[in-house]
Amino acid sequence: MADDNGSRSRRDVLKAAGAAGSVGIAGLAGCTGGSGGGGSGDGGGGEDYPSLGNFPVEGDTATFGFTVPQTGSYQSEGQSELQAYELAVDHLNNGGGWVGNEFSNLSGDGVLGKQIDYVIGDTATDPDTARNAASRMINRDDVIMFTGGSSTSVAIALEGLAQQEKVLYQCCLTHGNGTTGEDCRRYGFREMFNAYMTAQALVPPATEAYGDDLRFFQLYADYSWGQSVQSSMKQFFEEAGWTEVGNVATPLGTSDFSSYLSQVQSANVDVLFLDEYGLDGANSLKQAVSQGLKDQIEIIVPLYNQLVANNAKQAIPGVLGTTAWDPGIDDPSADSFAQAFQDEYGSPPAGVAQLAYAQVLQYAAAAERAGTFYPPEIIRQFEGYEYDNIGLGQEVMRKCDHQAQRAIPVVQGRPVDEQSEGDLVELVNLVPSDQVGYECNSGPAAKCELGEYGDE
Amino acid sequence: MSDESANPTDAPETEADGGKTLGGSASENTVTRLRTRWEGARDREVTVIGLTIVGVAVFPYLFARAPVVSDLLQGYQELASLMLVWGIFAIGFDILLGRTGLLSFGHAALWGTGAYAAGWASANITEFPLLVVLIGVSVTVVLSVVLGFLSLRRGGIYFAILTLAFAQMIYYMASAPLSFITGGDNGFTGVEIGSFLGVFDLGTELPSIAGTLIGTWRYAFIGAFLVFSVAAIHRVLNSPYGIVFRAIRENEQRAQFVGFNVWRYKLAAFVLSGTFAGLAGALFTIHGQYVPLSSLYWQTSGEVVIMTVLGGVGSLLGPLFGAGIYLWVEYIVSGGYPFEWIAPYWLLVLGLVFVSVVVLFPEGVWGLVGDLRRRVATRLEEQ
Repeated sequence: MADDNGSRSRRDVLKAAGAAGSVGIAGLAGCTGGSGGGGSGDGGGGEDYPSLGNFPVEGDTATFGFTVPQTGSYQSEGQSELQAYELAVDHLNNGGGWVGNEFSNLSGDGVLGKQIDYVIGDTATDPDTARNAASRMINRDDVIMFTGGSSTSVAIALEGLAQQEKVLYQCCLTHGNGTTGEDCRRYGFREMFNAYMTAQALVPPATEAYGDDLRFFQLYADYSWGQSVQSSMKQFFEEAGWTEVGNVATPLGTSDFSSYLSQVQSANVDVLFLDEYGLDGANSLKQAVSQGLKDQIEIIVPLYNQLVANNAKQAIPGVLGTTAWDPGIDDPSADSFAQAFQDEYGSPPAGVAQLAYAQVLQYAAAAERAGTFYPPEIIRQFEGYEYDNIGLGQEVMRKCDHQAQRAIPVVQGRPVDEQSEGDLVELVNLVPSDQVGYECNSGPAAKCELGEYGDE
Repeated sequence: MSDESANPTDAPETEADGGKTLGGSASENTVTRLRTRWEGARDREVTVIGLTIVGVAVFPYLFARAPVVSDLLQGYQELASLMLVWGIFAIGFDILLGRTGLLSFGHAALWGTGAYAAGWASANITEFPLLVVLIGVSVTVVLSVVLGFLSLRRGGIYFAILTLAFAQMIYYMASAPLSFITGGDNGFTGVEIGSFLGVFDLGTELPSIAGTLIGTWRYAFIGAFLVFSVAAIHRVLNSPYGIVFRAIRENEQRAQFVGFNVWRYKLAAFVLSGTFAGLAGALFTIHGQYVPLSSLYWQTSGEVVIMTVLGGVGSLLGPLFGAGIYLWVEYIVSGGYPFEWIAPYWLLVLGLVFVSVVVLFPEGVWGLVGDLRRRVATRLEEQ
């Protein structure tokens, strides 16, 4: 789709050549295998698919891989993800939660007649470590699908690996534009929204609350995610009539933001965007508040997470932002998940937990619909699929860039006296999916070339 | 093997001898003979290369597929390939550390540059693996001449710090100012590796027995480079040129007085070692089809030092074992083996292994092998 409007690049030609080559090899394999049949055509049904990646699944268990940060600055998020993944596997094997209810085609007795097992790997929020862990899962443990991660660079690295090994990867928390933009892959799907959509979702509440003709400044984490947030915020808020007075990149892992914040103070602005995440997000927010910035200007944190909120409890009241998901969303699926999670772990789920839980169930449901674990068929089940059963209303998994078109929760920090454990932000607005998003030939999607299914 | 096939001609003679003299002296005779022959053959180029080829050929089978051993090791094919890649890096590094006595703490710059150059070339110039490797190596050679020229002005700790500083400089360049080329924190994701000579996709299995033993074409490709590297390094180190390296390590001043241009030899050693670092980096790209930013980070330099010391400084093949042990702990132990709870403590395990090797076997794992060999030999002689 995306390449319709451009001339054929050298890579396209090579890809076509590569495809022709692999067909040749597949043909050879068919001959030596002696299984006959002259290659399985499009109409081939049942278990007639050739082996690809870790398909077919041997034995009576299918294994999922969970790549979560267990060490490093995002480990508390990894903890939430893992809890949700374990809950999902339990529900797939034994019923409960969304299984059999919101996801009516899941039986609660495994998937496609196979029990589900899982292996865990630590990403340490480092792309290389994440690839090491995932590659072990794929090569040794024969996982049929892997999911997890809470960083864009990790997600991009894992998507690449997934495409290469022909094993599906369900992105979890990744907010940068590249994941479903220029680094999109056929074997990766993203339920999470991106920085581009965050900007679109934040413009209405921010302009309504703070005014129309304002000057703003941005501090952003100096890597791909921070850069994509910065450029998206600039683009959409300037369209809405605000003016970016300046921006400054802060190295990842900065602990003292005072010199950056003093630049903000001297710039005479109305609003400050803190495009920071994790501990950096919490530190910058706390320091901005303690320098008295919050009394003079408004602060927006485009992407909230549990860690930011937890580490900056005193600083968050009134601060706007977006988050993956919020238990306060008025939706029956949201309620039933929150209940199931609460029953199991005794605390309300974090936004990222819903994301993780939904990834596993959606994969299982797609496999059931396809009637096979053969990856290209599952991918086709995902592409263009419309659903409303994961607690966010009506959604579509778009075919052109594998980006879910979905509603975005805009949240605001609760006043200190209303905060409770695991419930620090309140839902301001659930921006419906038709108010955010972009066409397949614009925004990040314009740069997306998904690549092969693997059965061409 | 060659001993056995060479034996038949000698055999009748030995037996005839045995008939006339006492049995004990005959067996002593044979053992001594075999030993002298082995001593002679051991360091001969052909033997070293032959042993390497055999090792490379059976390793993936033992590691990933053999019945009992692979269950014990929990290995898998791709890790076997990766061990070879790091092995090349480590034996190349040892030219500098073990032979010339220079500790570089900036080899990540060379490995990472090789990896990035190969990745960039694969995305923009050619997809043929051999050419991609060639480009990666060439770029690294140029860089190592520059880095060597600048860093070798000083010796000892200053040299280590200078190389570290230059490497970190390159790391920061890649992380932000040059991120439009390198992909910054995301790493280089556009790697496109084509088929070998336009015929074999590197990911496919080799036919029949070779497939069972060696596994994939990718492993065979990397393995061939490893054998080539071992042969090349063996030849260089045993040439008069390589002996000067050792002279410099033993006594730099004396080497200078004898009339050698020490600085030039050091630069040569640095560039040679950089070449193999670049080769390994390029193969790393071929293997993973992705270049992480951390490949330029100082930790990578640290890892190769640890691998080399673990395996045995100054031994040709030792660092291969060092790399294998390091990666085994990094990949297998970190995945919760042999105990589930050990996973987060893999660095601690590595530390313990490192400390015990350094304390108990100062010559590394290879030194341990050498010790055993000598002990067995003495035992045989005593009999």
